[in-house]
Amino acid sequence: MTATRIEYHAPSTLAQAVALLEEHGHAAAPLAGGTDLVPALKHGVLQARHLVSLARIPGHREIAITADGGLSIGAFATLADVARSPLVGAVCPALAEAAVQAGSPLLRNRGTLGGNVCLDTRCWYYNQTEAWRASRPPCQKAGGQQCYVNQKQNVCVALFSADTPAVLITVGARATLAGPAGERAVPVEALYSGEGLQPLAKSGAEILTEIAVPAPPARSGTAYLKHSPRDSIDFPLLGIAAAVALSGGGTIASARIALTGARSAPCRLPELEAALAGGPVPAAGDRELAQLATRSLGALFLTDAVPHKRRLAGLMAVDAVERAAALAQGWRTR
Amino acid sequence: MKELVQLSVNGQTHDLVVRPERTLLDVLREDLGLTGSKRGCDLGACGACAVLLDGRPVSSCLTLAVEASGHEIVTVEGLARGGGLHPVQEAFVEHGAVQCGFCTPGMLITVTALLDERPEPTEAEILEALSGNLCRCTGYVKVLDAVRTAIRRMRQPGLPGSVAPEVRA
Amino acid sequence: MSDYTVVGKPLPRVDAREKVTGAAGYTADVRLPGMLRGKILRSPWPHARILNVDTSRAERLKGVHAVVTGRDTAGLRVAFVDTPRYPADEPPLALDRVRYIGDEIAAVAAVDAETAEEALRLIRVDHEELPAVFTAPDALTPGAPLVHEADYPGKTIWEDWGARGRPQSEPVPRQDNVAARTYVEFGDLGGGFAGAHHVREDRFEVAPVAHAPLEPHAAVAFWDQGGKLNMHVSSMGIFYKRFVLSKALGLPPSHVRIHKSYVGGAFGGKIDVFPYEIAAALLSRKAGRPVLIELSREESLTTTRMDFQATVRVKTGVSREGIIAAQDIQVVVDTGAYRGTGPVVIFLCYSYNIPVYRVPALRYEGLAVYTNNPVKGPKRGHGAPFIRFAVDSHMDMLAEDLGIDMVELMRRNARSQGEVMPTSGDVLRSCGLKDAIEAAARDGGWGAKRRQSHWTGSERFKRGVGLSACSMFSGSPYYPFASAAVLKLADDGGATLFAGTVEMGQGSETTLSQIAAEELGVPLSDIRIVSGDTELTPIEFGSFLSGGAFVTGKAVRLAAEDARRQLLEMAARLLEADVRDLEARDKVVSVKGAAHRRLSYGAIIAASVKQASGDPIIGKGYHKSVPDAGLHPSLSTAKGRWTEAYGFAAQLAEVEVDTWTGRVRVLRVVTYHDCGFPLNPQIVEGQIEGCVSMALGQTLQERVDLREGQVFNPDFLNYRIPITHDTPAMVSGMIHSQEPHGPFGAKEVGEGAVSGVMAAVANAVYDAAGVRITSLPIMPARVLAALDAARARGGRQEGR
Repeated sequence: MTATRIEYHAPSTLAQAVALLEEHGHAAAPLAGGTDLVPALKHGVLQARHLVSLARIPGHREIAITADGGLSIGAFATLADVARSPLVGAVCPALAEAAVQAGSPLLRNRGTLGGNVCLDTRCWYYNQTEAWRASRPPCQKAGGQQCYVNQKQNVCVALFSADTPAVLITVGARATLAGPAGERAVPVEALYSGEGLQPLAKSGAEILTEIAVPAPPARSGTAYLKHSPRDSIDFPLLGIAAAVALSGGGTIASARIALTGARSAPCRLPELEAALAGGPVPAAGDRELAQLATRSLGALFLTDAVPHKRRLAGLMAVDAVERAAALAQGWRTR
Repeated sequence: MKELVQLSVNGQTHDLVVRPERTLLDVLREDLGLTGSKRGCDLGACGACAVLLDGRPVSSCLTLAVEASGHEIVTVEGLARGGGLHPVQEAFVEHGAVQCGFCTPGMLITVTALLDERPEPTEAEILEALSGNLCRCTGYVKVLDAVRTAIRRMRQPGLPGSVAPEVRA
Repeated sequence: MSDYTVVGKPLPRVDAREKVTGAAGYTADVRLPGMLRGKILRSPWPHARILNVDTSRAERLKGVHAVVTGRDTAGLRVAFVDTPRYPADEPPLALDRVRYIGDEIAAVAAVDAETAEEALRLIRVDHEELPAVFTAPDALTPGAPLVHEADYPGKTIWEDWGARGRPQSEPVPRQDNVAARTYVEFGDLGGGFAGAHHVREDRFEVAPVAHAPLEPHAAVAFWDQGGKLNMHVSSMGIFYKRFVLSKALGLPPSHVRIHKSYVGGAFGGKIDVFPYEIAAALLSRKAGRPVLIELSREESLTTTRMDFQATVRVKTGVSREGIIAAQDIQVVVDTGAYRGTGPVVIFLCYSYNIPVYRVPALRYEGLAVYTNNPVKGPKRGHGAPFIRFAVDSHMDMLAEDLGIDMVELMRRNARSQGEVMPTSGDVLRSCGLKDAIEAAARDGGWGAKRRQSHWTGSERFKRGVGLSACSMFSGSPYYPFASAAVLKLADDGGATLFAGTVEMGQGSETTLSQIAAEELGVPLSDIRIVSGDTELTPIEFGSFLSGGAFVTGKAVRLAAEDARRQLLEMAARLLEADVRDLEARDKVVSVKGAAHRRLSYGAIIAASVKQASGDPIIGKGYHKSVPDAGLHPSLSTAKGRWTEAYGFAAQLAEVEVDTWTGRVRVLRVVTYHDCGFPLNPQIVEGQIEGCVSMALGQTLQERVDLREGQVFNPDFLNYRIPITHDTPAMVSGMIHSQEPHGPFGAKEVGEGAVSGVMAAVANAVYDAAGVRITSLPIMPARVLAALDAARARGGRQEGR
């Protein structure tokens, strides 16, 4: 724990919270579950001196089915709530799969969906203690000049490693942001800048309040596969989400695939999506398709672009599509 | 800036003044003298500091004390009631699920929360529930045995969950 | 055996209730009035000259009570090994140099941790960075930067093993970075290789791993009015800690008291006396108040000790039947910035390997090399995991070369009871090695599963089995060389056992109490144990080198025998009977065949106090780790007696290899451990299961990621020890070989089962997927690369 002195605010309305964030600008940060923010505080990398707690703000924790059959999830809902929600399991099983694989059970009981969507990017230098970082000059993200990971281009390439956003992107979820100018809703995909330094494309005074998952199209399914060294605690080395809709004839009408753990933002795989559209449902472990998927990754990986990770991403993408399609094949009209 | 914090811990209410960057673990151990919750990694990756917050197990090293204000906290010291051990504690004693004992408080918190929520969890649910609690001594085998025994005992509340007679008081 | 009522039973641990209620006190739980918090300023540089340390601003900070630097340590150097050949080399606080990232420079005590950390930021260190060296081969290259420019030999001799108060002689300039060398040669090596039917040579590499006990290191120090230092420490042997601390601080040993703390796991990592402990003592003396230093997880992982990075080369010549004719082994370890246990591990790689297979001719060389990396120390098995990984992987390859089944090859070469170890003269008075190999192979389904990787029916997932064996000391001549125990009877017939053991999870309080209860003829609940306190207990060997149960257990048995003898003698007087006619049962002594002539233990003790000048009956026992050991066995030549009894284990692993992702899952591990006699089968199983889990971590996923002297994964998020999901099915059996020198026939159990897992898994991976991995850990990328190479070449391949 650093000796940094911080000020704590516990507003009881969203408007007050937004006002506090606006007032303190870069010196303020919203605090939800704290599972990402508190380590940053301990490591001395959090710039904020004002913590604006969202804990006393009522609402924004409910999970409900919307009139059109989609999902509305309060961003302050914990990952455990999302993981165990039968509504989420029914409408978007991949979201439950991603939520239940995020962190560990202890972390999911505090960490929120909003926090996971807004997770800061990570790298081997930035996420170390102050004492550890003293061995080298600070990197860009820690207020210095360089990027240790990508020394050639010298642009921060800290990785985005949250589990749930890849799923939300594949199902076309939208995020509601409350800010000084009122509310706005954007596609989750548009929340990300792609930059390691400032991964979120939103103003610091805006608070994510709700995630809206549209009603799934008929004969559709979703899946999320995670690759990490251990089956709990760890961030994904790779996470792949797929949302697949089938045509009446059983071929793939549309496939959306997104990857986390490769770049500074979760990203779609448009080339693979195009290749799958109109084709048959692949068999799990279809190696030819997996090779195509691997090729379609192109220059996607910013770091650790070891061949096996790219190959694994290809295999996982095919498996995720197959699993999503299997759900779609079992589709029953409600 | 210091904050007024009211913590309800194991049924007792404490009014404290704490700096906002201090964690619940800090306050439990330093201010309240409840050293049963352990500091294993200080980063939410080992589970030794687990406490119940409104009935759910959380890492107290990642929970700011101010955020716990007004909520119900249970630590390992609060599990035994009326002088008797909780059935989960008894099962841990009986099965040799305790070696060095440093992960034990967090394990017990996690298991009691699991069994409160799901009295008859599946094997997969047991493995997953404990997957955030590291143990370096037991290899988890006897911990899992103890959990299975506790489940059996708690399912039949008539049975005394008594510990083998050789255990010293 | 079946006559026993307390030993040999799976009784619940005596410390378990305290531990499940949160009442058990660990060092960081100690709370004393006025206690300060200490923090350490550490080097961020891998190698630098320290020109000046200015602490004036830190001293002036409000809330700071004391600051100490190298100026407060009077040129002191400490080390685990401190002999004329290998004099102590680690200053507790930097004198003129820092040699690794994390090396201690100064320490601060303040009212709270935050203030102490703030004070660290105010200390100015003028320095000049020096060229550094990070690998053993680089460090051995002529012209490499010298990590140590001189040795500082003192008058240290074996009896004086430990730290010294001040330099005793002129420094001796050093020419290279060789920190220690062990060399052994016996038999007709040239003839053995020349006459061999087949010779092969292989090379293996092992990444450093961390002990990672759940309890980070901590120390509490306070001085009483009489000038006595009191400490709570994370220790594995309180008398060794007291010995080194007293030497370091210039105090008589009786002026240092270690108080009891439970230890939250150690695994070898808490033997040494560490700079932070000396700093706590110095800060407390300067501040006049108690000081607690609690290391962070990062400090524990990087600045205490870790296991060695090692390279092992093995060359073996065998007959057509697979009998070993000659062997040539070289082990090179990176020991880090200070010697740590480098001189010991290169000796143990020889000593833990030699009891497994008969080798008529051998050349062995071990080198420990200084680098600017963190310091290495003993970790569970201390060398056995990597030497056994290398030799039994190599044996598996030899078995294939020769077309001989691995079990058969192991059986043909395995040692048996009665054999005498070369160089040491240690005798295998009990040896269940062959029984263990056969039992592991049988229970693991060796015959049905070996070379049957197609039985999964899957192109992608392949299964296989592999086997390995290992051995381990049961204690060794190491300060304080012996254990003593006292058993004090109470007038209710129960007893209090005083034994210096440290309960760190291994169950020593329970097994020692069981031994006392059995011998005295009382239930376990009648024994109370006082342990872990140098003032309250007699000397104790310590809980390392797997000598706890063997050495201390023997002392406890003798103490209980002594108490029982006195009890019976008193009863004989009272009952006017001959001692030989008495029997003791259920806390009653009676005359055989005349059951009405009886006295309770309580009545006998009361009578003893009344009639025998107040004698309350106190039993005393002691046992030396190796009774006929000479003055000092040699680490560099491996000559001299090293242990009284060897434990053995054989382990079989069944794995599933995902040939598409390279991920290896261990499905089942079967262990048969020859522990002589299990004093408490539940505790023995717990030790084996813990060993297997830890070993699987090292085999598959754990690695201290060192780059340019810095640990890139110094936390539990990135240093990944196994979790529940990683737990395979385990079969943990025991071979009862009845060690004649052990208490009730018991010997080592805490470490052996850690050492066969690596080769068993590597051999199983080869059996499953046809790829030979010779570098630990067996991570997916390595397996995948080896599979690719195998596909490219069309067959079974070796990979790194």
